[in-house]
Amino acid sequence: MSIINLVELRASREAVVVNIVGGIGARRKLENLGVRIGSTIVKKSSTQGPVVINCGNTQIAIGRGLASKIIVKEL
Amino acid sequence: MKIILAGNPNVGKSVLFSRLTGARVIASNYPGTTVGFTKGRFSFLGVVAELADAPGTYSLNPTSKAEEVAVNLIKEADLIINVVDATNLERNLLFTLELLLKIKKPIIVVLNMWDETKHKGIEIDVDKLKEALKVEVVPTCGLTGEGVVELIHKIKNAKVPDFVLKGDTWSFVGETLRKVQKLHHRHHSFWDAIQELSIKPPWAWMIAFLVLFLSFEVIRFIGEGLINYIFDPFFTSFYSPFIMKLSHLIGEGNFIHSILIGDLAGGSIDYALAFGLLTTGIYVPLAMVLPYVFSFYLVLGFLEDLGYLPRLAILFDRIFHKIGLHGYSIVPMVLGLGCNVPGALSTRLFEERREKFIAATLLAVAVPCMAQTSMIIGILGRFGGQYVAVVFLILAIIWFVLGKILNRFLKGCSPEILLEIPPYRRPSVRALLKKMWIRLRGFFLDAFPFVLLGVLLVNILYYLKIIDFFAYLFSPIVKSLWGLPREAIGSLIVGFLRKDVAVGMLRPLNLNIRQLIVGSTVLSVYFPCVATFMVLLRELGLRDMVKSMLIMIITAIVTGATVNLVLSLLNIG
Repeated sequence: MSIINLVELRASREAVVVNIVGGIGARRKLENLGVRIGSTIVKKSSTQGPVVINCGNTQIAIGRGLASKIIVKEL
Repeated sequence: MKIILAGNPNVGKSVLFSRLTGARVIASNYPGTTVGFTKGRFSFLGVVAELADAPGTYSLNPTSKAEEVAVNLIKEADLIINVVDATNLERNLLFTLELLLKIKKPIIVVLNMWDETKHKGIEIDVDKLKEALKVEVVPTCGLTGEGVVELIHKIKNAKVPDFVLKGDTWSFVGETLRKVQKLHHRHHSFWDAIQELSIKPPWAWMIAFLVLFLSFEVIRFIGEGLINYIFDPFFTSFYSPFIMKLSHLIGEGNFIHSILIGDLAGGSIDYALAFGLLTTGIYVPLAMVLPYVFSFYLVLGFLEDLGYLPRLAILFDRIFHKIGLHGYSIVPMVLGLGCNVPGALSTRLFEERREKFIAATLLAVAVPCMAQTSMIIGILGRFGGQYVAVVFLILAIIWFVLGKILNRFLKGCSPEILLEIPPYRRPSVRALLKKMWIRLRGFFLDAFPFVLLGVLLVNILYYLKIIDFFAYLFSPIVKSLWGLPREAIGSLIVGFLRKDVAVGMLRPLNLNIRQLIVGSTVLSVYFPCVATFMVLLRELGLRDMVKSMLIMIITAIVTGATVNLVLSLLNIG
């Protein structure tokens, strides 16, 4: 089981967020959408653009820079 | 009593608001439809109150102007109706908790989109949720009105909750969910499949291409159809005889005749040439602009309610990044294609001043509103649709190049997209018609008077020879650089007021194709109409607005000259 960031995670894989290496602002904004340490997410698309994940019943698009700050553990 | 509807973005606050007050507000299926607030009164079942519809917010610490509006309204209110998306309880409850803990005011929690929970296999125990939160909880469905009466009943008895949080927020939310919510397995639906495809390239690009192509074709088909089969025949058969009679009655040649009816060439009416209040002043907004405004909003309304705009935002994110914006800037741009005013307002969704500045400037410079577009189609399209396409291509190039320049030279960096993507929803015909009515009403109330004012202004300017004065003054730019006749300055003056009338004024000048292309482009670039200007001034502040205006003027001079030069070299016109 590897620790990678959200950009590196392959599409349609499930993972748990283990860290968010961003400022307090970025953390809070992600948390507002339900993405925080311990959340289980499913990556929906893997493109050159934003990363799309499902978190609970919410689908969220996250810019690549921000996504690379979200560290996950693949399940 | 002041009541506010507060909650996360895209949970259906605006739909509930119009249910409760009967007031007309625009609702769509994407986060950030509401950026300002609307207040309405309602008096029902003995409850008399002022109700406010606020923009959505994720927390009480605002990160954008729109969220700031919401937080201020919450502070003013006597009672808060916290609208919650029942299909997204976990995330929504975070804000509910924040309200419960920080705002000591009576709160009612509304579980909206209750109907959707059934399709999604979500079962919520309302009583247990009530117990956990210590407030009244009412399931509703804004679209059908289910639960609304019950909600009103609860308003009278709403109390300040005596809620005490044990442990931290997340563990409370987790625990509450375990108690009140049951998830059932369900089969993937057709919508789920489309949902997956429309964010996964290459399918996503194919779908986007198809959607945009169809939108364009439908707008054109309906717009042209309305003009050719309804409005033009109406004007020729019924309106023209009336105007001719009136013309005889007033008598050609006097001042009133030239203001009301204008020039009648050889006893017949050319509505695009006459420039009287009752001729061009009525014909332009009704028979040239309205059909396209109608068809545009029909298509836009459908895409909005379906929930396609956020998908488009994801696809276009990379392109927007090159110009210092992120994908969600597609919202002000697309709204701006209808009318620049709502487009400018929606820049409130952005967090950074830089982002706002770039988006607002590009909108004002290179996004023509439907009123202007329909006139360009009407006047330039007579020579062939390809020339209309040329104008749009030029504007697209200006949009991108100017964006790149601004991104390069403005300090700061582009923010990243972080956007909730709503599920696709089937647009309801009723809701679509209602939204169309709100927008058309806006067109009649806000645009029509300005069109008439514009036509009146044209007459006064000509009568007082003011146009001659400006024509002489600006002749170096207009004539030498842009290759337009001096008199085209009149169109630029009126363009401050209304773009449609301004483009219409190019018609009597007998321009060739090149001049029409230059004129249409310059008219779009040099300044937004006064209505947009007022909104931008408020949103950007005086300093940024002045900067933005300088950019507009320079861009207009440079591109006008460039287009003129290039088209001359290509021997067009």
